[in-house]
Amino acid sequence: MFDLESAIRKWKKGLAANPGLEDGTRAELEASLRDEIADRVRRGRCPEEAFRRVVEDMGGADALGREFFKVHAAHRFGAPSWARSGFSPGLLLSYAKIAVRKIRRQKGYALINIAGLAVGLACCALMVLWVRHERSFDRFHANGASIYRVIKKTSTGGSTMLDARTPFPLGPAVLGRVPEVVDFCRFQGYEGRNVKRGDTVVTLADNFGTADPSFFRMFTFPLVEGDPRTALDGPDSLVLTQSAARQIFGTAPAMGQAVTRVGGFGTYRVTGILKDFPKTSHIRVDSLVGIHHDAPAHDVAENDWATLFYYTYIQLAPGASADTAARKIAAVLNGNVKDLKAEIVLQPLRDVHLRSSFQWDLDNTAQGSQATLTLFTLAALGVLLLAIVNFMNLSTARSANRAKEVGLRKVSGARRSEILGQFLGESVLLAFLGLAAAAGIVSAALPLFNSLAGKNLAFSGLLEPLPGLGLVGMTLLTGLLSGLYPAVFLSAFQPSHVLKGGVVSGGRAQAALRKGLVVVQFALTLFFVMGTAVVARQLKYVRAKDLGIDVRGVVAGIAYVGDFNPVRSALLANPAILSAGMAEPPNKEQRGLSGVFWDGKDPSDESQFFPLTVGEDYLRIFQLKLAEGRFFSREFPTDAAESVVLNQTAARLLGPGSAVGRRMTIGRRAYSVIGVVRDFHQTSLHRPIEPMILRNGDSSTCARIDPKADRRETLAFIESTLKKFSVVPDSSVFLEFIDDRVDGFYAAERKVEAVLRLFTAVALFTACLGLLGLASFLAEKRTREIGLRKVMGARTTGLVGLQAREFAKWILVAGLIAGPAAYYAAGRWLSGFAYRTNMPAELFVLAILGTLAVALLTVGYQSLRAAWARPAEALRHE
Amino acid sequence: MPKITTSRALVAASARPIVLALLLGGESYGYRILARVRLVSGGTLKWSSAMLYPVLHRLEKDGLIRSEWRASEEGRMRKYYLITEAGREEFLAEKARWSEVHDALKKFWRRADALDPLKQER
Repeated sequence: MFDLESAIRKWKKGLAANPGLEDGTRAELEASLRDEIADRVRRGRCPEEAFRRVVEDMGGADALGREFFKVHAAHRFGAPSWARSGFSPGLLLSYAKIAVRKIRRQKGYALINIAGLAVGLACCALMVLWVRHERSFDRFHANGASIYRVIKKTSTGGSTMLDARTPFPLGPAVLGRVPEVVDFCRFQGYEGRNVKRGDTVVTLADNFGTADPSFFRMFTFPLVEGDPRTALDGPDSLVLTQSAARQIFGTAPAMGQAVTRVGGFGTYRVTGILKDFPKTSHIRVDSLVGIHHDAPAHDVAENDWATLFYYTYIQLAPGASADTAARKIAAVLNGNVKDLKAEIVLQPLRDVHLRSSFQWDLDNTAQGSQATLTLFTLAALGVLLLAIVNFMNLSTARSANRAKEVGLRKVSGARRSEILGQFLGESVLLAFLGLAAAAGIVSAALPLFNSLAGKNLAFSGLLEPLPGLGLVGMTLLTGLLSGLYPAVFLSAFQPSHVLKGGVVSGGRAQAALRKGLVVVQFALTLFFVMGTAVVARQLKYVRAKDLGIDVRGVVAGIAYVGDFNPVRSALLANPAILSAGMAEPPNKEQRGLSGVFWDGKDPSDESQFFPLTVGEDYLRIFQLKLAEGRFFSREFPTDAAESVVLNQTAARLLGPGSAVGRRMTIGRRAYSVIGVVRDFHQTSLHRPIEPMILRNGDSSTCARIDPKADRRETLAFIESTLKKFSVVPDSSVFLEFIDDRVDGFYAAERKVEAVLRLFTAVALFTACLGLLGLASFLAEKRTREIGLRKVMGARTTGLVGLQAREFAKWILVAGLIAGPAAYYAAGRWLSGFAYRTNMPAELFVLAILGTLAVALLTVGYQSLRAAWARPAEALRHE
Repeated sequence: MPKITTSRALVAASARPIVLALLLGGESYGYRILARVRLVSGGTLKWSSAMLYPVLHRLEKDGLIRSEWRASEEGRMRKYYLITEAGREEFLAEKARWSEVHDALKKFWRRADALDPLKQER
């Protein structure tokens, strides 16, 4: 409802703001307003409209004020002194001059601010580079948006399992029956990089791969030579990448030439040359064979729905719904596999690199992790936040220095908005100085970061329009954010107060805010410290854990020898070699077998078995213990064809009672269980111990070296021995210490730890910078208090303790905030390990104490200096 | 015929003699002055409050009029303006000045009309 009285009251308030309108004038105007409204209402207007029209006719407060001002002004022209002045470039110059002067006069504070902002921005710039790189994966495919990878999702007993592998016949079966699917391509990559041309063995840089002929049609992987339609058709077709072809054939033409894949896979003829895979492709191999000729080599029949081995990629029709397609594909899958109730998840091609954490996923590419990326991005923003807080704290703390300037500017006619603009401009200027310094830091730190993160990022990536503008925008935002509170605070000064020499400490509320911000800073820093501590602890635990398998001093390598027995004897002739034989050493990734059956197997049992091919000396080499039955033996020549040994986990799957003597079918072959080996960790501790089937056969050559012997000398001996017996002349032998390899299982975690350490150091540094600034400010402010205390007999230790206690209190509060948060976050991270360390309270207490120590050392000097000052000097002023 | 609007400067210049003339007829207050001017001029002169009140204040400052706050018939406080002796003299002077200008203008108009080809044709 319109209320005339309140409307008039409001209107009067508007007039009151104008200095040109005195009380009497306003009363007169009001009287006039009321007269006219009354007149209009008499003529039949409604009060609301009458009011509106009259106010409109009368004009705004500014116009009225200007006219009345003229009555008293000496001249009739020009704006009154309070009116909005136009833009004056001279002032801008003055702002810049003041800003530069402030920076020069208070070098320490400027340095703290710029350094903090630079470090924060540098962290963000690094993250921008990294995130851009990680997100650029698989973006180059022309059909990219419509390609998906088929993920099988099964639920057993409440837990769901996502498997990137799907049955071999799924792709062809889906193509006819699901209209949304217009194309499919199966793919898999293999370990093993050795090929032979004639008699020379060449080790390629990347793995082998196998794919459907649709590979070249669906994906954008162009062939340089050869016909994409037929290149993968023949039983002996082989497509090489350009660099692989160059490696094998040099400058000689490769097309039509013969290449042998070492490892009993036969000889192929080069039918196509593929442009090298982009570095940002999750599919990266050096050679490709047709999948129809690869499947039989892995005991996978064309109609084998039981074995999971290949990845299936599908292309959907334009505009087709992925959800609908997924449901239909699931129906096809479940219809073909007895008792299967699986769901299908279609994973967009662009998500494969960053969002794959499925069982038995690609391991032959540098797989990214969205979680790690998010973690580090947040960490970088956290460091930037620390720098912003520093800026806010120091600027408001030192605001007394600016009070007179603000007062004077205001008296000379500056409006609050102008002063606000001036201070925001100053903080933006500092932020851009920080950006310039950040550029220097990034270019200097990039090699270190690259080696820590295992990337090859280039500085030039920041100069591209999008990330470049993004960074500039971020800097601007940083400047505004850090300057906003100080600007609001400083511009609010009343000139009459500050010019009279009033105190502008900001009062209690501001001190509380400052303390709160310091607490936030240290909470963030402590979070980093605690997180790093937990990660380091887990890595230590992983290294110290008894794996049930002893890999220390075990060397493994692939040698191409005919009969292994003479090799073994030759190796054992060296007293430094304790045992030698053929075995499959622990590996980071394992491929499970799903087509394992036994009498009484629950048809819904989806258990995967991990096959290992080992020789008779396996137990001795790796110091494994037999739990039951016997192990493979040279006395039983039939072992290779008929016997398997299980681990305890696998034996348990077979049901109660002894597993020894039971029959099992793997693929199409039947075996009997002759023994059970004690559980051991064949792969990283991320995974629980999984059921394993050991078969007797040829594998890598492994040897255990006496820990007392010279490692290098013995290694050279093994290498020369293997070369001597090699059936492939001039072939090189690649030997690897398995303890190093096992250590490498946790390379990703160590990467996380290394980057986290870096961030922790940077965060601690930034937070301490802020603390340093604040401490010196507080010491300065307390000069008189300290002087008085000294006069009254206080000791230096007591005075330093006084300050230390205050900072310690803040950090303890920060610890109370950071502790639970870090506990939760670290717990989530640890849950990625099947075997994990605990998180004792001491760890967190230690983190707090350590940080406290660093913080006290930082402020200690400032406190000492204040405490040492002669009280006479402190008290003389006044 | 182009629409005749009175320029700001002309309005401002004529405000003084008009207000003085009005107040010669007796005391008045802001809104009534506005209403009278509109009525007498037949709507040609539309003054706004933002224009009138500063003029009143200036006249008062110059001592040509004086003002007093009194309660109106409706009981509201209202500022009444009365002309002073100096104001009467100033009114006469203004009247003389404007008449001179008016006479001069009249002569010029006649000459201008004589030279206007459109007028001659008619």
